[in-house]
Amino acid sequence: MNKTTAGHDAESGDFNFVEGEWEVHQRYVPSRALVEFFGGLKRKEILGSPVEGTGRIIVPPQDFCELSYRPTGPLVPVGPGGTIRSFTIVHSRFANGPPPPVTMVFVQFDGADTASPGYLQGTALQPGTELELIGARCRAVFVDAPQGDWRDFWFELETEV
Amino acid sequence: MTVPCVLGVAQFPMRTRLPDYTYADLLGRIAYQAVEDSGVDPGDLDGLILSLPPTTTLGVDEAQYWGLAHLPGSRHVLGRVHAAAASGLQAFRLACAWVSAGRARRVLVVGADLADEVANLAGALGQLHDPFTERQVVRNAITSAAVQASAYMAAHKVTSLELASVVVKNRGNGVRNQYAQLRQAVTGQEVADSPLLSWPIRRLDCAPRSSGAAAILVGAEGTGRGGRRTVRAAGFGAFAGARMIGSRMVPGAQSYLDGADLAAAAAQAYAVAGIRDPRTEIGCAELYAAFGIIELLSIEALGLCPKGEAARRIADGEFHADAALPVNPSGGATCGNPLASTGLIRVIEATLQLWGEAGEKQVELRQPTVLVTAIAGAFQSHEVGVLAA
Repeated sequence: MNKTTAGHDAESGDFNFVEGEWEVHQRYVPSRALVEFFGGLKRKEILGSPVEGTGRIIVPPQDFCELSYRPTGPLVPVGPGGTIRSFTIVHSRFANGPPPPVTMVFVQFDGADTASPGYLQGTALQPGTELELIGARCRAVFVDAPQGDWRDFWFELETEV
Repeated sequence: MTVPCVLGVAQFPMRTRLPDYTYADLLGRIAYQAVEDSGVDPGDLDGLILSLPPTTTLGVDEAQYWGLAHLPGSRHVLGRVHAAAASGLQAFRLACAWVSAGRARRVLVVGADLADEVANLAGALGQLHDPFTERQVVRNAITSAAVQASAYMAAHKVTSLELASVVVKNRGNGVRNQYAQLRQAVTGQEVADSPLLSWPIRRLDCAPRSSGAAAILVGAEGTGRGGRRTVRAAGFGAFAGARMIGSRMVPGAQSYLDGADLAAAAAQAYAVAGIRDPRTEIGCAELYAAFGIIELLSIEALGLCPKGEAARRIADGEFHADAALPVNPSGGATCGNPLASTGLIRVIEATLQLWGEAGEKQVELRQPTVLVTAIAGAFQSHEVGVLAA
């Protein structure tokens, strides 16, 4: 809490609140696997981490597998095709998101054993057909000049639902 | 091994705003009420655990230093539990473990929330997810629950109105709960007509933003004032789920969509409590569910009905207050959800039912055994407890 200001009731003038604000800037430092993953996005590649001994492939990559407690090995490519496992259509405005409504999907990339979140674009869903998205095929589409960021790609359906 | 029991309880009426209290005052008020309820002298406590989830909602970092020192038991602080909406039940479980192990005779668990002093909870709780990946898409509690609801509707051919049956039931129960924040019944159509937030979740599907407080004194049997049925903590289970929700929504690993992680926690609790058939051995359940879909997944994961049937069974009257196995006769988190105390409130409501002191919300218990749960994060912390009289 870096700034606080005493507040007073507009009518009575009584002290009745203290106004404050957090001022915390953060610089998050990625793991080596994430550095490699985001490097892959710059080459328009999706990478996952294979679990040693089990072959499970985790996207986005992790250093350890939460199912087997084993470490993961060098990253391998997955996708860009995949299957939608679930979704929602967001009608609220988010500071870091595109204007609503926006369809957020969780996609299991071909070759991966996890689903990854992203936005579905290029599809106008008719009311009543929303649930047909689950199980639908889609593929990752990249921006022309990826910057090495999760927002370098979105998803588009391979065929309309 | 000592059997831990509930000696005293107290809860504060849940409201959007509690303008007459600071956090420290609210914490103190509820803590002393619970000790008074137990008949124990405040100087006779030898343990204190604080349930305190992210303090960004309070606007005070490390708020325990504001609220702890004047509480009974503060000379013997055992720690602070910081697990979002699961904090209360997790803290209660740990208090019971201390008593059970003979390391303490009486442990107070206390939590308080002032949720409306921050401009919005989305900002205060918006740093929950991985900053590199998941936080780059629009993720919060509502969108996370919506992803579960979509999958549930698709897998089990459930309609929006059937999905709303949970909220209709709980809001009806909340009318009889003097501590509830929302005490007006709603219809399924009103839920379906409320503003769409994140398809298929609508405004009335969501728990409100709540301030409140709750406290429980745990101790060995016979260390309270007597005169009440003994309510024992008969068993607990806990399970920490995946860090990325996408890790658990693919064929073969679907715990985010089917509640298998909660089922794993329940299996532990049932094994300790000796429960083999929860459908016939549980008399009532107070389940944490900030959204209707969480209650549906919980009822099924806890083995109270087969997969995919909870919504239709609720719509048909099952799990209502007058049914054989009432779920959330208090109205549950649907009618008030202060994060630090919501898990404690589940235990308090269960205890009041077993004591026969639930007032207008008292249900007829087929068995003197009540199930409680708490879930937090994006379906990541799972706590299950069994209380028995």
